[in-house]
Amino acid sequence: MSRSLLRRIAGGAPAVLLAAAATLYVLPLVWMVLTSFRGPEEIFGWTASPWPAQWRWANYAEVWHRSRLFPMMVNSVAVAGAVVAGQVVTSAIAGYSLARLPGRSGRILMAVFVASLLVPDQLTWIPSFWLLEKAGLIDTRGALIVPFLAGAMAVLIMRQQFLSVPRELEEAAMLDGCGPWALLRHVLLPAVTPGLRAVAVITFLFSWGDLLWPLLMTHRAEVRTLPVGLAFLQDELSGQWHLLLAGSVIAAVPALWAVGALTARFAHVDENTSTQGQEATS
Amino acid sequence: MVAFRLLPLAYSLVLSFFDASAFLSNPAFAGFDNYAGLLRDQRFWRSVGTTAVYMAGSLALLIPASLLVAAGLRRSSPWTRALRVVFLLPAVLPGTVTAVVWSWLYEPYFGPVNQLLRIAGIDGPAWLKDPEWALPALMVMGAWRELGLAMLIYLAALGGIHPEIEQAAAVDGAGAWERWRWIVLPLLRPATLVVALTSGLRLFDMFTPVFVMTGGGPAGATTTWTYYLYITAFERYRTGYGSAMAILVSAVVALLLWLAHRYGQRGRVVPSA
Repeated sequence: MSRSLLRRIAGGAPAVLLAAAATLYVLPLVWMVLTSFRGPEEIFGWTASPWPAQWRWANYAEVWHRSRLFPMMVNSVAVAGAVVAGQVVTSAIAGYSLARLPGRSGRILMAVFVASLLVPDQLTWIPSFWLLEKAGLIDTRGALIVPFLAGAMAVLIMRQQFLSVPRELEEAAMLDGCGPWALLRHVLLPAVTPGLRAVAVITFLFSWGDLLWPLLMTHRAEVRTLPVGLAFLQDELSGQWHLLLAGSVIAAVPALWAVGALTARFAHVDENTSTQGQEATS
Repeated sequence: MVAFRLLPLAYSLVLSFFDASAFLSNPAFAGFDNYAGLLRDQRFWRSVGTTAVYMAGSLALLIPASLLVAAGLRRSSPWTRALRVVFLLPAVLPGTVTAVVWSWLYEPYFGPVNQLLRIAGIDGPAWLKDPEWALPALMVMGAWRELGLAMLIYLAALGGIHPEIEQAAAVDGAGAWERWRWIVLPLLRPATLVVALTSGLRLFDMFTPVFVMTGGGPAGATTTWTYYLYITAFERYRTGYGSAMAILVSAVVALLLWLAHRYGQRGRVVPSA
């Protein structure tokens, strides 16, 4: 009895340590949110209390209007949305082909995709700039969308996902009179939804958070995305941390929303696909 | 149907080839002068050195920290799953956001880090504005951002270890620490290699924090090679020189990766469990 109690206490110690470590770990983010609600005088005075004296939502309104975040938000949403849509479609098509291509040609294509993953990003900057300039896309949203409409990583994820769908499933569905469209709509797509969701979230996070590429390929303020705008805000609002951090929270929320949407629906999707699969095989 | 599906595939294929082959024509225009100039370029070599130090320092913090966290969160319960999510948060946020947050943390007078140090009676340095401290400050942030992904890799590796191995050792009288030291840690060596490679490559490409937080300074102390390439090719428009730089560094990295791959294969012979 006392031994198990001792063990429980000993077992509890790492848990307490872990909780402490986790608290310390997220403290920068908690502090970001708290400070984004403070008044300027609280930041440059001695901040004894962790809580803001009053929750100043006005900080958000101020940075939103003064730094004109709305057009940047529109740009970011448009770019990330187009890139996600493109990657979901191309990775599904290419992933399916890769998973079903027999023998050598499949292996060669596979090697090409893996090889394109190994090319360092820095090597692609200059040729991409040149290509986009030839296409007249420099300084447009297209420069931020077109190069990312297809990606090897997403294709490989979808290939793996399609490999888990047995061929017999498709054959059975065709025997039951399923046309190509019905096959795609009712058999294949439901079976690979988890993979598509993963592709969507990974792509969204990358596109939403990217600073480097928009910096390289665009200059005009009209096509500026949120990360670039936020980086420039550092100079514009130099020292006005309450506004800068409010802007940071605004840029962070969609990323958290995307991840939340994925993880919340995962279990539900798994259930769905398994029943759909059974229907199709029976 | 196959043709309908293959067409876009071929298109993306061409695209991926294009990226890889278009750069090859650049050195031809520029000749070997760029490479010769690069070898004499002190600032270039310094930036490569800075990048290597940054990467090594971040990894030295990241690997033990993520291993400890993964060990602590090994068992799956609602409680540990929630903590896993907490540790993944920074990796999910846009790099610009975390960079702005850490600029604030490191702010010399009113930043939380120095305010906390003042409570402890320590007069903190100016961090990002101090040539000595700027790079270490970025290392801490780099490890912080990478921790969640490294933790995931370690968690996956820990999940792959058969419980029977540890149970057998326990029956033979091995204590908890001995089981860790002599069984779990050796089995995690491949995972450590994966962490060092994936996080290491991302740290080696580090750009956003430098652009947002330091602008490569103070006195060039945080100019990583990616930032130097950005300045050279996209602010001074020396694209030929920049291409040579990208190719040279990529070639060295490829060589190092190949060596790591060989080392990894040798390591894999031992833990065949």
